[in-house]
Amino acid sequence: MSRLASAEPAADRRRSPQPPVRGPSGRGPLGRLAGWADRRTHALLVLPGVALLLAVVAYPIGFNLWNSFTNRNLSFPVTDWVGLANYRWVLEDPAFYSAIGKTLVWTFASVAGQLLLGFAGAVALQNVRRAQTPLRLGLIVPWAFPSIVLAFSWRFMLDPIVGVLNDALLAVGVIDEPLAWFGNESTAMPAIVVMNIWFGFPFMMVALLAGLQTIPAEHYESARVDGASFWQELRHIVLPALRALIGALVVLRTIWVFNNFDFVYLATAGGPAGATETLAVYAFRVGWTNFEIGRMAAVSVAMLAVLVVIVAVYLRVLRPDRDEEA
Amino acid sequence: MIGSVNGAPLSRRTFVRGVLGAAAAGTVGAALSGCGSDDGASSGDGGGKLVFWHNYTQEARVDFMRQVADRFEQSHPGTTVEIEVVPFPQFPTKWPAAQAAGSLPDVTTVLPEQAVSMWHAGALNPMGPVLDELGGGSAFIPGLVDKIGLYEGEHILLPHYVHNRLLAHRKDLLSAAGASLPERPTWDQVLTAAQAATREPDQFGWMLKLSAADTGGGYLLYMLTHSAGGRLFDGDGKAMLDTAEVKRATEFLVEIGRTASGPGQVNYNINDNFSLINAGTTVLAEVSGAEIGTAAIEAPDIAAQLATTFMPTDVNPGHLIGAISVALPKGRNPTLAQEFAAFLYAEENYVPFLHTIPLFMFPSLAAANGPAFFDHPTIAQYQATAQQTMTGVEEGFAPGFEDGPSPYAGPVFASHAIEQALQSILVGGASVDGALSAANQTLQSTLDSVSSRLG
Repeated sequence: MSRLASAEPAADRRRSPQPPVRGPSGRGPLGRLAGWADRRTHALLVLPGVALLLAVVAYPIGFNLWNSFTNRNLSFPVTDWVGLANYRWVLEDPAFYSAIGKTLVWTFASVAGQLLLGFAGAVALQNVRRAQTPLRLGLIVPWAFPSIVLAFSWRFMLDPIVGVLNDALLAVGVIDEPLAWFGNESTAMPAIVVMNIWFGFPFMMVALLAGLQTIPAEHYESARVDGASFWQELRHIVLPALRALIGALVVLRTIWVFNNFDFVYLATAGGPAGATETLAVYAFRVGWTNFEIGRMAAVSVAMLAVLVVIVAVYLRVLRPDRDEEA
Repeated sequence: MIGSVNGAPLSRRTFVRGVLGAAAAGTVGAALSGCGSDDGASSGDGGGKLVFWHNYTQEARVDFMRQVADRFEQSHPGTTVEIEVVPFPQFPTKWPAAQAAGSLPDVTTVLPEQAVSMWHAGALNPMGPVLDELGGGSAFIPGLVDKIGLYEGEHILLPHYVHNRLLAHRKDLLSAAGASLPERPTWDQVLTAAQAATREPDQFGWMLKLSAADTGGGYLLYMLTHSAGGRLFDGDGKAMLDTAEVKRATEFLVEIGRTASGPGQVNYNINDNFSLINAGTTVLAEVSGAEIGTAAIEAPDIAAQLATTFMPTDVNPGHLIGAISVALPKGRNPTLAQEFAAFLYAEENYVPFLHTIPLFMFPSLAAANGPAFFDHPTIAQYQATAQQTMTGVEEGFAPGFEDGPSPYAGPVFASHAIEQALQSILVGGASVDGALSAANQTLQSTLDSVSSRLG
């Protein structure tokens, strides 16, 4: 084989493939084994990756599932099989169903807000002719901060006594007295959702901006020749082109937000009076605070079930081939 | 032969050679690494190495503990002391993992409720020999060793240092409100002073800290219930949130919350204490000496305006002891561990350690409860605070330890049932009876879970 064989166009190589190497006939068992291994080198290459995947994904999931059927507690040495007791406990707890409701509000409101703000930001940035890069960097700043810094900053800004938001709203006459945004049942959830939208929209914006830049300019030019308005361009060019990307982003962000614990816990610890107790915070409270690993595992399995339903609905609604089928 | 990346041919032989080469390199590397890290810990008997976990995260205390370890090494030639700083939030997950891996430390600092769990898990050796070496229970503040560490007939820990919850107040703001507090104020006196000092929207008499992110609300109700002569649960694991004493204590807290505390009280936690006092947002605050000591360093002008009283008294003072303790996990060097634990209480190590952050730590050793400790300038400046602390240590209990160490105490406060009840009353519109009834059920479920494991 020429030393330049690797420089041959891939198409040529596909047209004239190397004949498969087979074990030399007439060899003994070792030779046949070598031939067998030759034909399965690809499997050998994949094997470490599969093993690693099983170790870091399947094992923890399996271990968690097993724990959910036990009364494992880090503070006590003996672990017994308790069957469905943890699941019964969770399913009979009204706080669990309340947490599901809170989680759905938290998740859908956050993702919808992030998507809308991210989309608006992306469209705006797309039309910026100068200094687009610094602007993009500036807008992505929230994404760069650790959640503990953001949560405490927001707690400080929304503090009813020293917070800047109350001062500003009082100054312009929107409110008559300072509000404890995180300390009031009616405002705590909206407050943490706004905080989460602010945190998460840059991710959406950057991803959508990248998607916008893949749409050929000719599409817009043709539409304008036909007299299309901005909204018509948006509806008939941009949204169809970004459909798959938006679907992926929504599914990903839904999973992340659904499972988010740190923002909620750091801002409100699930309070006041359970008003912001999402499933992740609920799992922490009923399980981790007393190291009830079994009970927490049952909650996490229940969370997974809820999440699977949500994602299944998303995939059904947002599947990329829907237009083609229609 | 098969096609491959960039056209470079990859055969089974090439692949096997590569795998074997990587495996050989890995094996040699691991062997060299193993040789390099042979510090005696892997020998099985621990050799001369002693592992010490402590929770003292501040630089002054970290440095001092290293100095203690160095002195121990000098007095025990051939011994090395390996220190690992394990903050309390990490401790509950770290020790079970270490126990499972057979790598428990030889000596550790621990909270009393954590030590009870460790004892049940078979992770601790008794501290009796160390106590004997130090001179028995009389070497400590009277009654302290038993009420903090005597469990199932064994001393499972020894208190390293102690503190007591007190009610701090800003003298300037309280006197501006025309109010004052005696050293042992009653509930009514505290309520009246707190209401008088409230100047909404910026200043509140007693800003409560009822977040479910910590146990501040639970501890506060414990102190007031104890003050009223009641308990949150009994020694047999029966929840008692439905008793008249708990109800009275809750009603008092709710009255404070509605008339002398402010918006945000359900979000604040104990760590917000310093900033609330410093900003003058709260005039009264439940503190330990630590907040005063921190203020003396960080904000001397504010510290000069701080004074303390005992927590409100009904039929008893509402004391609550904190006792950071020393325990002996089942490490690899139990004999050396006993010597090191005793060494922590040696004269040259003990009071100087307590002085690394003045007013943060108070002596558990009787011999240290004297001028050597109290003559420190910062402590002398807050002599009343120091004396109130030591009085509380003698009269009070750790939360939930009225009958000595309790396996129920940790889970009760960690359940946050009390914080949730107080929040639901103050911002959720629940009645005191309804909230306490619901919390009592939650608490009983928690207690039953513990009881079922104790057998």
